[in-house]
Amino acid sequence: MEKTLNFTIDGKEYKLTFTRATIIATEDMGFRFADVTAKPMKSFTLLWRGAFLANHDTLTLGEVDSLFDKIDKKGLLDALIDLYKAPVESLSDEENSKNVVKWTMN
Amino acid sequence: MDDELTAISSSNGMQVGGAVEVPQPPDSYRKLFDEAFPSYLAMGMTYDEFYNKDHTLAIAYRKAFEKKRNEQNQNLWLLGAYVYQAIARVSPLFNPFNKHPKPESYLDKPFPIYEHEEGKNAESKAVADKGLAYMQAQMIKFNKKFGKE
Repeated sequence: MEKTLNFTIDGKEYKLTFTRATIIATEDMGFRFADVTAKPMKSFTLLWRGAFLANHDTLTLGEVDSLFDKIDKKGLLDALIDLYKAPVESLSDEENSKNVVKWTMN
Repeated sequence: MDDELTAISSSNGMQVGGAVEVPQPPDSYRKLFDEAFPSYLAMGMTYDEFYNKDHTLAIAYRKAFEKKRNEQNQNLWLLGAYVYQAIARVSPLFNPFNKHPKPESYLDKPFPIYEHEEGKNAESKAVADKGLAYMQAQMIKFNKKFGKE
């Protein structure tokens, strides 16, 4: 099952996700994964907009941005990044990634 | 400064202290997807499935392809085993010192693939063995009767 971010605003359900095509479209809008730490706010906005393309592409940019104003943003950027990474990660070998040593930092 | 960093970092990694390479996300995933797509196309995935549908389909296609390859490999191994059996059975014909070669006939049945087939074969072998033992006992009895033991 694909990863989705679900929420309801004003009685309307939204199901955000990324496909490979919408990742490319988000990049075309100017999003670069490598820029997330350097330009967090710009990346956040672009990721948010891109996440609507798969299931809600009829919404206008203004509508998407007004939804952004209404939603609780705590942990949202990380969730959007997870959504964004999922189609990329599904192309790599699961068995190899299972063998990767986990690490922690104090 | 930015230029220096750009010069140090490559598209796939960044040199830290000249020794350790820290993997960096690529500038664009488009290239990665476009490079991976032909492989998935070969596995039977369509353009729409790869780019627009549930991304986990790629995992399913990969697993299915692996199963298919294993099955092909198994079939090729089986073919080799049959060829080996066939050659072994006609090998007396290739012996130049044997003036009256007697090749064995080909296998009566294919190799059992499933466990229940093996069980069935063992069952029929047990019945045949029992029949053979009965016949041998009858022969001994018959020979004794006519003093030919």
